[in-house]
Amino acid sequence: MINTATNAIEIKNLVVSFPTPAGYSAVVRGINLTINPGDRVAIVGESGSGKTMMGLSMLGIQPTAAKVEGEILIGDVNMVTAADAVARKLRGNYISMVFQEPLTSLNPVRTISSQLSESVRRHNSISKKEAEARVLAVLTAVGIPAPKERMKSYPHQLSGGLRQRVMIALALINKPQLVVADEPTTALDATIQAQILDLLRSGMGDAALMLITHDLAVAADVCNRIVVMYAGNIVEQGPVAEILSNPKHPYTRGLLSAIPKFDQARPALNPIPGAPPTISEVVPGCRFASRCSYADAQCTASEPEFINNIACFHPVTGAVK
Amino acid sequence: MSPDKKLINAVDLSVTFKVPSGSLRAVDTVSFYVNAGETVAIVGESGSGKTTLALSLMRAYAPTSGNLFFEDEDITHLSEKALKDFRKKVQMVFQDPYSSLDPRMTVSQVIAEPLRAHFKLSANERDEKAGESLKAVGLSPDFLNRRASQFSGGQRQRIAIARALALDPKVLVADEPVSALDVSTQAQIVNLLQSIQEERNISYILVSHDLRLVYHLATRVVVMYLGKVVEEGACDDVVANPQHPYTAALLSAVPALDEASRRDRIVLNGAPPSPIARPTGCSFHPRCPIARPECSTNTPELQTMPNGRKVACFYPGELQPHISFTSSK
Repeated sequence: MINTATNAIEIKNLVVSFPTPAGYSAVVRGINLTINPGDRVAIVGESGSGKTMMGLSMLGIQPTAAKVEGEILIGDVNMVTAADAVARKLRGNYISMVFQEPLTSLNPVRTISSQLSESVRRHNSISKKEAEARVLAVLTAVGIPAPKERMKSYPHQLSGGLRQRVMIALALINKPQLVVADEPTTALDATIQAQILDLLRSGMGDAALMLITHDLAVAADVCNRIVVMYAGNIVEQGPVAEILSNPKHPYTRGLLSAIPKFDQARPALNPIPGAPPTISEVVPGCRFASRCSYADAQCTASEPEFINNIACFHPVTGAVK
Repeated sequence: MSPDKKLINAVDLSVTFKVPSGSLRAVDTVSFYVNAGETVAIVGESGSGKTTLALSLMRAYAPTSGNLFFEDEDITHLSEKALKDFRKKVQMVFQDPYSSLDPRMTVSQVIAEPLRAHFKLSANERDEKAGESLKAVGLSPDFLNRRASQFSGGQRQRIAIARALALDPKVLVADEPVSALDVSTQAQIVNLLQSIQEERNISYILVSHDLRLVYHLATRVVVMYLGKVVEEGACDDVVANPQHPYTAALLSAVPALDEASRRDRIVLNGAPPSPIARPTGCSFHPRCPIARPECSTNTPELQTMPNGRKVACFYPGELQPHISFTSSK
């Protein structure tokens, strides 16, 4: 039914908006993004940047109040306009999602095995036994110790780290082309986070990964490409090494210099002043201008387009101190 | 006041909770102190007892055994009434300013609440004090009549800090004070906490899992695992040269911007065991990369080393993480 395309997923001019008393306000404001097979792309941004809403609409599971426009192409299917039946066939099969809090995303009254088998059998006409064999294989692949015993467990009987491994197993079980992971380690402890980051970096098989995170260090840890979002727009993107060593957008630079480091001199941190605009706030020009030390009249008059991987009139060069 | 004056001093403090299957010793014979003007960080994962320890240092929990002193006075068993002065001097800032502030209260009501509890002031005097508190956290006194729900996360955390400062406390307990905030606003709050400390010589007890933040703010660090202190020392020293393998693993687990730290990461197996079913011997041995057979039978005591560092391990210093230090000096 679906033409296996060369691109895992292609997003064209995606706009996601919500009704407000003053009409529809966009939280995702015209995004273009291509994720190729095997890519590990991090979407980095603060709360309100639109990164989660973009992820949800890629699977067609955005809140019902949201209005989605543009194209989200998986093969020759546009998820934005696809019929429910078509979208359902793609979800969990071609594209799947890992959420932040595994305890609220797994069904508490069903065993791990029954939840994973359901996903296998929904998309493949195979016997219960064959499905269980695949469940066992994927639980082993994501590093769950004693997987045979764990299959019979309920989610509450597992630790947070194991639950997140189960979530990843559920996302991987049908060998999807793309896994969207939304802050998959935020709810986990430090040493468990390190385990899951390892798994996301090297245990995803052939699936491409889109990692949504607010933490540049987590992004750098797992991915090979970083896409920085601010207030609904992509403002900069590039390979990890380039974004870290030579960030050009003042917002990316601000994010990098705001993180505390193991700096023996313990200099005062460099916060980005102010706060992002709210959803209904009308901002003429660049949406970052009011917080940007490089902004001038041009920045408040017109909005910079995203050209050559950056949306800024005054890109900066050199490493961030 | 001499610089080494202990404000809060806990000696062999234990806190035990009753659970259906018996008892859970959340804090197990922990000694802890904080001097005037210093920042002590309590570090550990969930279930380590770090928050329970912080709360029992505030006498939010009554200790099951051990003693708690405030300015040399034994307050372990003081009644709530007798604790009133202590409550004034030890205040708290919580993790999530969306749940720690009542969204329907005005900022002035939020900040005046502790003032009302401790002082007999007129409404005008309270408003004046609340306004001063707001100014101290970098907010305009014009905000006094707005409701907490009208503010962003960073502004709310400033209001929460203003509320804690209104009583002019000597100790501020901050439990993950920036982890619910966005990266760009985290730095604002961190800088604010530092400047408040410089101005007021206030002591901080910082509970955090973020070791970069701990390194930035703390003078001393206490590392907890399963209710016990496994390592304690000057922050510089502990980060540069961790003695306990758990400290090494925690430091190594910090998501890093550099390739080398990532490549040489120490990744522990499994998760911390339940404090109800504590492993025999050293509690850390089932996850420890350098555990020997004796570690599962003998329990290492917290030993003081010549430089004042404390560590509970039979093989201190053996496991070292790769950390990329920078120096902007």
